[in-house]
Amino acid sequence: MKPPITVERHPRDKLLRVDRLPHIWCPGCGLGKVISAYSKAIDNSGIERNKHVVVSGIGCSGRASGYLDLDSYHTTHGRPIAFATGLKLANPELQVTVISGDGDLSTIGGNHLIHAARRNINLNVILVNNFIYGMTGGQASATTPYGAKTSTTTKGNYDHPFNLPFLMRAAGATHIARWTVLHHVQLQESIEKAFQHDGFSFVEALSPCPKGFGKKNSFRNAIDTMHYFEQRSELEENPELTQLEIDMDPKSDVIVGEFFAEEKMPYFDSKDRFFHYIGGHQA
Amino acid sequence: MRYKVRVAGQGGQGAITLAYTIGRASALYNNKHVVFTEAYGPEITGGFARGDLIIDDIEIEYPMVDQPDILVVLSEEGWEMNSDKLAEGGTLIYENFLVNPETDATKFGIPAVQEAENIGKKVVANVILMGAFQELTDIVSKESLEKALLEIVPKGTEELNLKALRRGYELGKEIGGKKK
Amino acid sequence: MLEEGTYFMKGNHVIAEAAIIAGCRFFGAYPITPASPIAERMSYRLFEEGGEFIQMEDEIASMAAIIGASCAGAKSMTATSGPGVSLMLENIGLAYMMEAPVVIVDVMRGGPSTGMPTLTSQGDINQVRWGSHGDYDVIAYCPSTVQECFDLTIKAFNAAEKYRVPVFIMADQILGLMTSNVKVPRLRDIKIVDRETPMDGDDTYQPYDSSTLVPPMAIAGHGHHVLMTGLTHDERGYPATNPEGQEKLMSRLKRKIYENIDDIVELEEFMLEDAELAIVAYGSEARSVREAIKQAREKGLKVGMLRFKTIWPFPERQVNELSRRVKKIMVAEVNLGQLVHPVREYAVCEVVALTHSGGALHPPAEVLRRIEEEMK
Repeated sequence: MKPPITVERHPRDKLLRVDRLPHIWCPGCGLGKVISAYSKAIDNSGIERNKHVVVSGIGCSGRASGYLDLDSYHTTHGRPIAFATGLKLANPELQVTVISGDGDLSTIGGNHLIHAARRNINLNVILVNNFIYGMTGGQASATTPYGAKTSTTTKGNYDHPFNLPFLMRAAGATHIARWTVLHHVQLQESIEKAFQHDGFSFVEALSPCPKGFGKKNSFRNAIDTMHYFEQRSELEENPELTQLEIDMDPKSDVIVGEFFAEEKMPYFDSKDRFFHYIGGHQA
Repeated sequence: MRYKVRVAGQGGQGAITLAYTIGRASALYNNKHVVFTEAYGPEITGGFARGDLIIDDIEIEYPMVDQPDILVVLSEEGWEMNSDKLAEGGTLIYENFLVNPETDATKFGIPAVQEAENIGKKVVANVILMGAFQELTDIVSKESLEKALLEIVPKGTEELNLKALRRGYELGKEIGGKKK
Repeated sequence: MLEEGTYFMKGNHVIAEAAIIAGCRFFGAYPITPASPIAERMSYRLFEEGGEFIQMEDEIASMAAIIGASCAGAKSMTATSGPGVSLMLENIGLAYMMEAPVVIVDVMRGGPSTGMPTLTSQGDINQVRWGSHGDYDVIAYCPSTVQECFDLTIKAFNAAEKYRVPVFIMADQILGLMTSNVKVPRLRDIKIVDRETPMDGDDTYQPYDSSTLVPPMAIAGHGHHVLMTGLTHDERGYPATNPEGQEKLMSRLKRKIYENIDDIVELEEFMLEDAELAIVAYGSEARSVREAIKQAREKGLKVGMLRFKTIWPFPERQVNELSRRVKKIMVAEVNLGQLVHPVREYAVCEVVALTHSGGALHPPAEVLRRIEEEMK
């Protein structure tokens, strides 16, 4: 095996725990691009770095928090949004971002995802969707496309996947975007928008998982997936949200874009509205 | 002196409030140690409701009322569920329109519902029984009971409740006096 | 906050009020019988006190949220019953591993499964000790009276802050829903402990410094850029998933409890001076036992009680010493025999169990009958 390629300095080093590099992610994985987009967005945010907090769950994407030189919390499988809710409520000045995967946030943690969206609480969720459980060896998740082969659906996935932007819209998220990791600048801008947005932000980042997903399906390597993203991504501003399912078929398009932004009373304002009274109580 | 009291009725009749108010008055204004426990049937409305009180000068250990010295019943079901529980020599106080108890125990039937209707609000039947309880048992003082009651009733109903309580005293006196 | 004075309050409400006095400013929970009155009270009381209440989507989320809030610097609490604890267990392990101070109230009801939601039990004693996977230690207080609901809730927060561990308050259905007298002392006479935190700007800060048993805790937003993880970690908080890293972390976490066990454990001795039979009891059940002991003493029976005000960590030394003074120990509990096992482990005398399948306390007459039988 070749030794890992390391670099002495990188423009993004100042936001990374460089003493923890090299990271554990596979060559061709899209997670590095997500970290890069997030860290650039932090630079551009105008929000004091110490107020940025990152929370993640378990899995490959769950390791994101561990590489960022911020206050970072690596929590249990599926629960980072619930954990982040506590952080945000206890100190609303924090800019709390959850970075985790499709298995973590939308499968085992799906309940927390929809309820945080329902509350329209001011959290930024970056869901890195690679259609698979990567770290545990490529098992099917709630976003594995219909018919796709995984290590638990060797004949093809007979379960239907979530259409996450549509789910988020239905649950009450007020800022919804989707990009592939190839859309690096757009992804970064959506994350910056999430920082600015007062309410629940959901940014889906489609990412190759060359080992866990790609090679079992139509993508021999990471470059194949990136080529697919390059050739078949369609930018749409106001798509029909019901049509946003992804089948990762080389012949199908992947719709990306900033899909939805709505003004709805955010969690803290809504609470204030009902709680101006400071009442007496019976003891 | 230790008193064990059980108040039993149906949800919505105010059995729990009746017991709670006596407990509150005894604990806060008569300097007693009080343990108040409550129990309900699984129905949200209309199931059985029970408030148990232990009132003592010293700290109370075992907190459950297995055999009440005084049983107050507001419903037939409340009576049926507790007819064999009353301690020997105990006293039964009951609403005499809703309950028709057959027992050899000392008993006082109080026309609380009818009197409450006379006052104008059927919901204060429990407060009338509270007043009768005070008069018949003297476990809690009138002054304390009135203080506790006024603390827990909704604003604007103070007068009505006090009227009901005092009507209860009178009924207790009349009916208790007759018995004695 | 409640002022000095005597109140007539429900155990559950007293726990809520005491938590506020102890400094609790974040509460996240999911409704469950018989613990809901705590959430109901907190839902408006915390707003009055400038704290945050949130009704989470389930108990898993509640537990995660209170750890998150704790990491943001808030003293945090949740309240539930056995089924909720079952759901919280994975994140209780996370709180232990992250060393996040949190308080969990378990108002015990009959189990297993849905069991008897409206009736009492002491069946969660073992669950809270080792229910999460791996080796760990918690601190668990077990109030017996409504007054202790107040006193021990204050202590639970103090212990959580002092030792950076999840701390349980093991109430039960009877106590939680019981209304009784409670005396609230002058606020300035109540000892309140706050966690140690590093100085802002301290570059030498190691979040899991092993030269001390309880390192100061960095609060999110203060610039320490701390990494907190459920993975086995080194002094920087970085993953160290190897036998050496595990040994180093686990031994400190264990030592921080066991080297402070005398500071943590609280026991009450009742009529034990000349006792031949000692009854070990805790919570509401101890009230039946105390009444039975008084009756037994009137009959001339030399019986007393060792009451556990803390269930965990287990008072190994005190139980062993007791077992050398008495002829026999009887453990009375409202379960089919849980605390009796560690008592047997540390006692040198005969240990018998007075068990109950749940739903009620042993009536004192039954305890007395058993005392007489055991002392024949």
